[in-house]
Formats: sequence, C-alpha cells, structure tokens
Amino acid sequence: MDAVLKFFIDFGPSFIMMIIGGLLIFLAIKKEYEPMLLLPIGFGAILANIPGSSAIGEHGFLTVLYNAGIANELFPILIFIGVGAMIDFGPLLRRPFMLFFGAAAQFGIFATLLAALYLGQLKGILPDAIANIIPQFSLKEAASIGIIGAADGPTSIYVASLFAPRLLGPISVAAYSYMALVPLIQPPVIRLMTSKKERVIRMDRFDEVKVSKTVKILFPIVVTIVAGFVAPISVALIGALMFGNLIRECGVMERLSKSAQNELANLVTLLLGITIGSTMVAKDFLAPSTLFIMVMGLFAFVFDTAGGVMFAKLLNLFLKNKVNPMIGAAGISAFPMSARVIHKMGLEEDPSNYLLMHAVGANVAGQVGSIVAGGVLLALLQ
Amino acid sequence: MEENFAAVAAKAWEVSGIGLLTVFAVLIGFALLIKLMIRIFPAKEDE
Repeated sequence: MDAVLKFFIDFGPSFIMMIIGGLLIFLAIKKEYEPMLLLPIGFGAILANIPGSSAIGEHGFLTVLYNAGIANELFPILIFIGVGAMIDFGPLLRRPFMLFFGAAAQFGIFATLLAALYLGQLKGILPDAIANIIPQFSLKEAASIGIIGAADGPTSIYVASLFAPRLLGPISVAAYSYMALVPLIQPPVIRLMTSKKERVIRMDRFDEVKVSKTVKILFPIVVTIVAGFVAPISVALIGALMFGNLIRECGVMERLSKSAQNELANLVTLLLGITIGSTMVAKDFLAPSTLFIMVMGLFAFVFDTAGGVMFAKLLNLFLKNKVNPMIGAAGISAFPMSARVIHKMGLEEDPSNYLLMHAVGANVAGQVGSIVAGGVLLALLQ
Repeated sequence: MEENFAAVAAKAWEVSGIGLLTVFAVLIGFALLIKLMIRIFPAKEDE
C-alpha cells in the first residue's frame, strides 16, 4: 500500500500533466480549437511528463528544439514571415481609419498587466489560506501575462520567452485557447456594451477605394522602417511579418510566397507547438500561477473587446457617419475569427447588414496593433 | 517591501499609459502614411 502511495506521490503530478496534454489533444480534435497548435502542445506535454523521458533533458530532442527555436525567439519570428505572406492588407489600406480600432483593442494588454501586478497585493487583504496560493508576479512577468491580450500566439511567445521563460507554457496555452474561444468570449461582452440600435448601424461601402500595387509594396517597407525607429527592439517582430507580406505583394516571388504561407508556416508551427508543450513539466505547470494566468488571459480578451467597443462608441460622438461599435471589437488580432464573429452578429441583428469587409479591416489592423504593442512593451521594459 | 512595490507599481502605470498612447500614436501615424501613399501613388485604371 505504501509503495502504491509513494508511486502516486512521485508520479501523480506527471500523470495529471499527461491528462492535461490529453485534454488539449481532445479539444484540438473534437472541438477543433486551434488544432494546429493545441494538438502538438498537448502531445509535447505528454512527451515531457513521461517519467525518465528521453525527449527532454540535455540531449532530448525537445530540449534541443527549445534551445534552437524558443530560447532565441527564432520560431515565432519564422512564423511571422509565414503569417505576413498570408495577410492581405487590402481591406486596411482601403480604410486606414480602422487602425484606430487596432490600437484601442490592445487596451486589455495594459489593463491585464496592471491587474496581474496588483494581484499579489491581495495577499495582505485575504485570509492566509487563500493568500498563500496567490502568486506575486514581477513587472516583466505581468507584462508577459498582459500580452496574452495581444490575441496573437507568436507575439505572446516572443515576449514571454524574453521576459518570463518559466511562464511560457501556461501563457502559450492561454493565448491559443482564448483565440479559439473568441466566438464564445466576444458576443456576450459586445451585447453587454451595446444597444440593439447601435448593433444595427450600417456602414458605408468602401470597396470603391482602389489601392495601387505600389502602395501595397511600399506599405510593409515603410511600416518596418517607422516601427523600427520608434522601437528598434520590435524590428525582428514587425520586420519578419512585413518581409512575409512584401514577398506576397511584390508579384515576382510567387513560389517563395507560397512556400512561406505553406511549408515554412506549417513546419515551424509543428515544431513550435511540440516544443512549447515540452515546457509544461509538472513542477512548473501545476502551480497556482497557472490558474491565475488562465483567468488573467480571459480578463485580457474581455478588456480588449470592451476597449475596442468603447472606443468606437467614443468616436461616434464626433462622427457624422457612425461606426457600428461592434467593429471596434474586431480590432483584436485573432484573425479571421473575430471578423467572422462580428459579421455574424451583424447579420443576426439585421440580415441585410454586411459588416464583413469593415470587420476584416479592423481585424488586420489588430494584427499590426498587437505586434506594435508587443514591441512597445519590449522597448519600455527591456 | 511596500516602498519597493510602490516603485514597481508606478513603473507599471507609466508603462501602461505610455505604452497604450504609443500604440495609438504609431498606428495613427501608419494611417496617415497610408493616406499619403495612396495620394502620391493613386491606382491606375487597370489595377
């Protein structure tokens, strides 16, 4: 009996982690929640938690991958080249006004940073039994938790690997889980903050605006240079995204553009996921901080949505042609889920109100906004 | 400890405030640049 008990005490946490890994695989396959990331993360967690696993440790292939691609931030950067090659900035270039929402919907990042930092102060107020499990995050850790609100997996991983490597596992899982749950998180927040009258606001068509190929080519170059001057530390992030976009738009690198969108993005996503999973070892992951990070991540997504909606409502006080405030919520980076959610909500309110292109514009702006926010955080806290 | 936290909290408010404002400033700058580029390089008829 003692031997059984000892076995469970020694290996119980590892088994719990394998169950968590299995749960992530279940969510990826059965519910199709970000399967390209959650499945490798889940399997990586199982590999890392098998007692005596040769997958981790000095010569373990997952540790080799971690050192080669996460510790030096290489994998998120390579993913950005693929993402950049996939993005069509057309809807944003036709209506640059949407960049306002790409900025407003980053509100959750900064609100969560403060919330995560002040969390530790609850220790002095709450009873000891509860206070003991409340983690005290450092400022850099709080910033890494806040960046979950970027709704952008690679940015979250990039910032967390620099500022809070010990929290990389839970931050990545939270970021990708909530991105998959955008269709469940955003609608109730939007409904709570808007009236029926606001949700049926029609917006003018903007597809008459034409964008030349020269502008499409210049955009990634100019953005990289400007962002680089504002926050040089963000050059790797923004530069990789914009390089990917440049090879898409230049028109003379069709083959490489396709490779970046498919082979490069797929291969690195696979390696990134399984390597992140390998950081989810029981002694680090099964801690109260993980639970608080998951709660804070949700908080970040809710405040991003609220920030975008509130900013659109604020603009409506001054605009002649009103903006449907739901578009503000599409300013988060979760592409294209958020745009789809807003479009669907618009159709539910008024079946003839098509908000898709406006929402896509705001959503693409959110992708730029989230990377800029990540770069700004790095610059302010490096 | 309390004084130490007060300094960290002050830095956090500074980072959040300046951070959010910087994001707005940079993205508004991008919006203006796009407007400018569209004006300088208008689309041709066949584009």
